[in-house]
Parts: sequence; structure tokens; C-alpha cells
Amino acid sequence: MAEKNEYNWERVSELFDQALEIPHEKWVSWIDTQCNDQEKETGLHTYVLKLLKGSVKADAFFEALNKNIEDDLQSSDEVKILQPGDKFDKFRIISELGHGGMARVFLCERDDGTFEHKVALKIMKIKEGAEFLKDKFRQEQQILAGINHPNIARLYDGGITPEGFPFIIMEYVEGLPINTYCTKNNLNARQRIQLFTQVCNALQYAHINFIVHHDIKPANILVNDAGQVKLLDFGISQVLYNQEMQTNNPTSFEGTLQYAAPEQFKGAGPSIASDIYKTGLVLYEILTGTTYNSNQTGNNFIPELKNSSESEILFGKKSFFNNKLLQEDLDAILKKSLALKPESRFISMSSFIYDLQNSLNNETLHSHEPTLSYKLKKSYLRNKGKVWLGIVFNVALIVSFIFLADQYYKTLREKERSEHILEFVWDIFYSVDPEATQGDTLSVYQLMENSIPRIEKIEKEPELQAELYHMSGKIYTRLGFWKRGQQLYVNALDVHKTLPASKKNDLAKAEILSNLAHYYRNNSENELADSVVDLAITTYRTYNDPKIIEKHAEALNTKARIQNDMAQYQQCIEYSEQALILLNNAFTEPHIEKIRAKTFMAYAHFYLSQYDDAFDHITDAIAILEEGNFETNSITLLAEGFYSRILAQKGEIEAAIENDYKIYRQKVEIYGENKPITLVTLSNLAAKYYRLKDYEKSDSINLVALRHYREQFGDYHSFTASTLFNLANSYYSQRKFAEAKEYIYKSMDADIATYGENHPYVAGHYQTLGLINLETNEHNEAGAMFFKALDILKYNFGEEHQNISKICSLIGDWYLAMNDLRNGHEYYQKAIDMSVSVLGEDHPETIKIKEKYASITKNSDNI
Amino acid sequence: MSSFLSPEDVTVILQEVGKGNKKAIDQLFPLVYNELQKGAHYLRQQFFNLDTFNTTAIVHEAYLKLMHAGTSNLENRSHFFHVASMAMRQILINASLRKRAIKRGENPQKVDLESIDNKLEMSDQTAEDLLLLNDALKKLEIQDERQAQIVECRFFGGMSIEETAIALNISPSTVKRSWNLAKAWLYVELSEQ
Repeated sequence: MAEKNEYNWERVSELFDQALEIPHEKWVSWIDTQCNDQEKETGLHTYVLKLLKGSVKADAFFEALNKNIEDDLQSSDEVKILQPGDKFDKFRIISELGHGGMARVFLCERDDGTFEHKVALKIMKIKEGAEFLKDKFRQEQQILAGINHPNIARLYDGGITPEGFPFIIMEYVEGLPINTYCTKNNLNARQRIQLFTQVCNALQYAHINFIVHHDIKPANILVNDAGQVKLLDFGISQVLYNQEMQTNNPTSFEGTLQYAAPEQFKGAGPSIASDIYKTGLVLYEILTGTTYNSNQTGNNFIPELKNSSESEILFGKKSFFNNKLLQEDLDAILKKSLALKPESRFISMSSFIYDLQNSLNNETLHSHEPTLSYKLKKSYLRNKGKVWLGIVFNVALIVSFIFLADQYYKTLREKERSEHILEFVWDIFYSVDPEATQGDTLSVYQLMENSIPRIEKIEKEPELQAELYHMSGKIYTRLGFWKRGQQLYVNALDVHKTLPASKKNDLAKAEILSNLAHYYRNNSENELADSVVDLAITTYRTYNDPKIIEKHAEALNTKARIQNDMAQYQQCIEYSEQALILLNNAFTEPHIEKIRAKTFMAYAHFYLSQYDDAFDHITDAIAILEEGNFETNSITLLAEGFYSRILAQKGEIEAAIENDYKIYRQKVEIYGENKPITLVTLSNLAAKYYRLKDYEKSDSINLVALRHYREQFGDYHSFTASTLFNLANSYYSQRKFAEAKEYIYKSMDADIATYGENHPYVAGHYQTLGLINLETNEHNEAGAMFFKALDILKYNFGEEHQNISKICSLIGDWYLAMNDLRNGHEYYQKAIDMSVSVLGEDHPETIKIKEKYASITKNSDNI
Repeated sequence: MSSFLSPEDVTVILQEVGKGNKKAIDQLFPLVYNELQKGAHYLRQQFFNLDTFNTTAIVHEAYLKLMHAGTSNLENRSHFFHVASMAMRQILINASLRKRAIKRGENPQKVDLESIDNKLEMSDQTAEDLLLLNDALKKLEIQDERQAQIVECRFFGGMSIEETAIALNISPSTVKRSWNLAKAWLYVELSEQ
């Protein structure tokens, strides 16, 4: 082509511009008229014409090119983005493992050269509603991080990519999908079932942890060379499931729909029942080699394989289904797991496993006889200690249990069964130690809240409604939401008012009352607690049924504890004894309520300063505890903690400290370091060091505890208050009076906020303040403090009490310091008489006061 | 380009660009180029089909990244886009060259796996078209630099007529006319290859 500088470019440009203004077909003639001869001679007119013709096509060309670039960018190419060699976090991508509608999975290895470690990286394609989903995703991740089972692929890490896509990094499993593995290795039926049992074990573990898998399918169940099953995609699928349901995009969900449970099509969420269904589908598939079609008819799930050539392919030369019994068993198991109605399926994975195992051993099947088995319950209870700690619960599951119970009750009229289910749920919850789950309980709370409206609706079945209110109340209480628990107890009692009197109803009501009494006691409403628990005890006494002995004893123990709190120590002892007698008559074996009774007896004797008796009782409690090999819980810890306290009181402080350390280590292991229940032991330890006059150690331990309490409970919690009080007393002993005063006031504020102005604790504060004032020569102040303490104690304990004796002796001191000898001697005499009357002539406290008085009178005689 | 420029620094440089200071363009070019290079990041978004994705989008992202949105005026923005257009041209050409090398069985050296011209998977046709266009554009630059700049702005940077006019300090009507002519010239040039 001619170079354009051959021509007068401005002229070319001018002609070109003008020509564009006129119609194309006139260009040739128009150019001809515009160009002079010289221009025509040099070919300028042809050149302009060529440009004009070019301009017609140029736009299309550039547009097309632009479009091509755009297309290339658009399609550039998924594989190219996270391609082998690219870095992701600490990892480098080796290859792409899979590519689905919702996520892509890559094989990665560590890039920092620390060690060779292959992992799978899964990046989610989450789009709309991303924020909500991301939160859920994080939640899931936290749950999964706590999951550790040999048959579940580990989750190592997760997060959000800089571009905003959730990802997880998990164990890379090299293996084949379970169905392929079975076929390839030509496994027989027994081997297949054994392999499948690994799947069930993994799911059982998850279910006990309140996690449902929800996306069970052969592609998510891999078997490695060693024959070990690994479940993938745990829980994550729930997030995606919700997403898919929301965006209503069935195409990308297609692969999974094949493994959906019938109720899911009606919009039901994830549940154990749906997991069981899906697991059944997998079992069907690996036993028959075909996918299950729910529309199929016929009585037998598994075709009569022994007559078909297929069986040879599937199960090898020796078809296991020659064993007719196994075939029948497996049919029953499949029928049960693939039941259309969720409530007709296995109630848990463990019953599924139980039946599978039995089928291999040709034992009687559960599936033939649908009752909730004691064994099942047992197996949950056996496992509880191992699995509960640090787990966030998926209460959706609990709610579905409640729903299930409701279904049984309403539709099947199987009241008894419904009650069993409730009992079962409660057993699970009972094994949750609230102290261990603090901080993780909010999501449970929310889900429980969601179940309340459901309970409200079943007013046509008041008995069930009352029971559900009661159970929810217990769950809330167990989780530390006392107030909410109390409300639900009251709801349950309200429903009971409408119920006819019957033994069953009366006993149910007594149990609610007993639990309500617990609440009031925890809340320091002792008189209310006392009258409520009396109602329960009266009912239990009326029926005097051997079946309710445990509940009766529990109520008696609660009464004993309330009496102890009200400083009615003799009463406390009496009620604990009653509980113990009932229990001893009914059970020869160790029982947790026996420990409780013995502990409260020790409490009362201790406060009566009968330390030997206290020691005997607490030693009994510990012996029962050790004999019964109870799992550590709040009752056993109470006993052990109190054992230390009595040891210390008996002067065996080193032994007490050793015991406290033992308890502390146990608690750290079970509950974790910063949990309140663990910190209480720290406070106890500090108190022991205080008694050893090792103030430095005592204070430093207390300060640690104080910091945690404040962080977790704020300034006004009773734990915070008692730690402040202990510190104040320590500073007093170290003659750091200013600090002591400061801490006392803080502690007193907190205790008043919690217990009110007239609580004996507040008297304790006034007493210490008075002592400080005596030391700092603020005599008027000191007297005022002691009399305030005296008033409060009288208000709580009446005229005579060992604490009143103590304060009387202090008032005696004060009068003497003020040179009011008459009043001084009078109060001392009062103190001594009271101590003799309450504690006895030979009681150490009495002797102590007498000795002190003797030394004072001796000194004053000398003066 | 190791030194990090703040949006304020960029603004100062852009003002120099506006005054026709070529050194300022040289100063800014690597920065913008680097930013566009990071387009792999945008590609990842594309991977999840989040946005429509084209050269204009990349340029705009880079602009938002380097400048505080809203603090800059139309002139600065236009100058920035001008520089970005030059950089984008370079990136697309690099990607095309890489494609051509692969096609010829050569093993292109991987400099930065995360860079966009490495990520960009050009079709053969696009790559060849772009390389031919680039050759023609080089010729045009020698003959009429202004027109070549207009092509850069309009085609590679996706700039509007107004933006191009401001960036090159000429009237919009000149831009419009020159753009038409340049396109026609380039097309004729390419079709005669």
C-alpha cells in the first residue's frame, strides 16, 4: 500500500471527512469532482476512495476485534486462573481435582518448604447473599475444626480469598469412591458391609456432635489403598444446600438431588433422618451396583441375586446372598433406612450400625422390632464425655427431635415412644456440662428459641406441651440461661394447672417444681426455693413410689442445700440424711445423689465447725465417687473441692493444695483454662496459700482469676466479688489497709448488686471494713461497721449464730479499744455464751474466743 | 517499579502529563502497567462470573486502585486513562506474543505467573490480529503520532471521544474525525497485508 506521506495528508483527511457526510454511492463521482488533475495523477483520489471503502468495514473489524479480546478475557480460562504452579496462601497448586457447579477443588502442596504435605483446596462459588453465607460458612468451619475422626477428612484451615470467595483447606484423600472401590476390588457382601460400617461410624460420630453431613453420596465417600473410608465435604454442603435452595438453581444441584431424601423435596432441612436415608441409598448402591429408584415396587429391596448372573459380577464367585438370612436382614435394613417417612427410619446411626453388625452375626434385628432401645441410649451416654467438649451444637437437630416426638405423639398416638424420645434428647443434653460450653451456647439458644413457638402451638396436647416446656427449661438451665429456663418451667406449670390430677401429672409437676427450686436457689431466693421444693417433696412422699426414689432424693438434697444456704445447718443434715436413707435402701451401688447428700452433710458440719464430722462425710463422698468411677461433673467437682477446703481447715493445707492442683489439672483438661469452673479452683488455691501466709502467691493467683472473671462476667458477678473479697482480706493481713479497703468496697458493691443489702456476704464486708478501721484508728467508723454487720446477721440468722458470736467478740474488741470496758466485757461474754450454746464448750471456735478474751483481760489487768 | 506512589503523587504526575510533559508519562506508565498486570486478580473474579470483563473494566479498576475515587477531576482521569491505554496495549501485545511463541513451539519464559499477560489466554486469531494491528499502529505513529494516540485511547483504553479529547488536548470533533480516518487507514493497511 502506498505510504500516506506520498500524499498531502491534510488534503486526504479533508476529502475523507467531507465524503463521510455524503451517501456512499456518490463517493466516486464526488471525489472525481473534488480532485484536480495533479491529484488524480498521483492517485490521491483513488487512495481516498480506498480509505472510504475501508471505513465502511473498519468499524466492524474493530468491533469484532474488541469482542474477541473481551471473549478471550471472559473465557481466560478457568484452568488458567488457579493453574498448576500458582500460589495460594501457604500452598502451591499442583493440579485441579474436580470442578463442580458450586466449587472447584485443587490439589496443593505446602510452598514454604517446611515439609511435604499435600492438601485439597476447595473454593466455593458463592455469589448472591454472600455475606450471610460467609458467616454460615465460618460457623461451619469452626464446627468442622473440632471434628476429628479417622473416617472423616480433616479440615485444616479455611477463610475467604481476597476476592471474597470462601475456601477450605482439607486433608487430601487419595482414593476411589466407595462404589467404584467395591466393584474394582470385587468385594463380597460382608466386606462391603464392613466398609460401609466405617461410613456409619463417621456419621454417628458427627451426629453425636450434632453435625449432619447432608450430602452423602458415593462421590463424597472415598476409600484409600489401605481400605480406609474417608468422608468428604462434611457440613459444608449445608451452606451450599441453603444457597441452592435460595437461588433456586436446580441444575447445579442435580448431581446431589439424586441422593436427596423425600422430605427434602418438601423443603425439609438437614436432619439425622435425611442423613440416614442418604446413607441407605449408598448402601443400596454398593450392594446392588445400581442406584435406588424410590418408585420401584416389590417386596425385596435387593433383587434375588443368587439366581442372577449379576451376583457373580458383584459379589464374586461365592455370592454372599446364598445366605438367605443375610439377604433378608439387609432387605429389612434397607427398607428401614429408606422409609419415606423420616420418623420410620432408624432413629440414629448407632441403631443402623447395630443392625448391620447383627445382620453379619445373624442376630435379631432392630429393624424388625421398632422400639427405642436402651442400648442405643447407653451408647450415647457412654460416648458423651468424649465428644461433648468444645462443640457447638446444631440444635436444628434437637428441634427435629422435638418435632419427631411431636409427630409420634400426634399422629401415631405412641405416647410412650414420644416420651422415650424426649428422655433421649434430655440424656444427650444432660451430658453437656454447661461450664464446658460457655461461649458456644448462643447458637443453641437461638435454635431453642425457634422451637418454642412450635411448642406453643401444640396446645391440643397439653401433656406433651408441658413436657416439652419442662424439657426446654432444663436445656436452657443446663446451658446457663437460668432465667429463660425458669420462664419455661413456669409455662410448664401453667399448662399443668389445666391438667386433671393424676399420679402421672402430679409426679411430672413435682419434677418441674424441683427444678424450679434449683433456679431460685441459684438466684439466692432461698425462701421461695424452699417453699417450692417442699411442694415437690410432699408429692414424692405422697406417692412413695420406688420408681421415683432418685427424683425424691434429688429434691431432698436440693432442700438440704437450700437449708444450708439459709444457715439452717441441722435441717440441712436432716434432709441429706433422709435422701441418703432412701438411696441406700434402693441402690447398693454408688449413686451421684449419694455423693450430693454426703457433700451437703459435710457442708453443714463444716459450717457448724464440726470439722471431723465434715471430714468423715466428705471422705465418704469421695469414696463413693471413686468407687462409682463417675465422669467428672459439677457434682463430683463440688465434692472434691470441698474435700480440699476441709483438709485446709484441719490444718493439712499442703495436702489441700495438692488436691486443689489435682482438681485444677483435671478441670484444665476437661473444661479448658479460662472456664469459670476451672478458675474457681484457682481461687481455692489462692485461699490455701493465704492460709499458709504466702500472700505473694495467693495474691498473684487471685489476680489472675480476677482478670478472667472480670473479662468474662464483668465487675458485678459473684465470682468477681468473692475474688475481690479474698484479695481484700489478703491485703488486710499484709497490713496494706488502703488497698484492702478499696477491694472491699468493690466487692461489696458487686455483692449488693447480686444478693441485696441484707445478705450475710455483705455482713462479711462490713466486718472486714470494721477490722481495717480499727487498724487505721478510725474507731467510730469501725463501730458503725460492726453494728451494721451484726444487724444483717441477726436479720438472717436470728439471735444466735456462730457468725453473730464472732461479730460480738469483735464489737467487744472495739468497746475495749474505746475504753468502754463495761460494754466490752458484756459483748465478749455474749460472744462466749453464744459460742458455747451454738457450738459447744469444747468447740475450737469457742476455745479461741475464750483464749482471746482471757489474754485481753490479762493485759488490761496488767495495765 | 519499586517506589510506591500515593494517589496524591499520581495526581501531581497526571497534571504534568496534562501539560504535555513526556517524562511524566514515562514516570507513570510503569505504575499503571504494574497495576494492570495484576489483572489476574480481576480474572479470578471473572472465574466466578461476577462481573463483565473487558479491557475497559480492567483500566477502570486500576484507576480506582491507584486514585481515590471522586477526588480526581475529569482531566486527571482522562490523562490517567491515556497512560493506562498505552499500558493496556502493551499487555495485550505481550499476551499475543506469548501466544504466538507457544504456537511456534517456543517456550515463553514465565516471568510472573500471576501477571495478566501470562493468564490471558488469547485465541490464535485475536493474537495475530492484535500483532498485525500493532505493526500498523507503529507505522501510523511515525506518520501521525496524534492519530496513533487516538487509536490507543479509543481502542485499547475504551475511552470516550470526550475523554480522548481532554487527554490529548484537542477538540472532540478532531478526535472524531481522526478516529474515523485512523480506523479506515488501519483497516486498509491490515487488509493489504
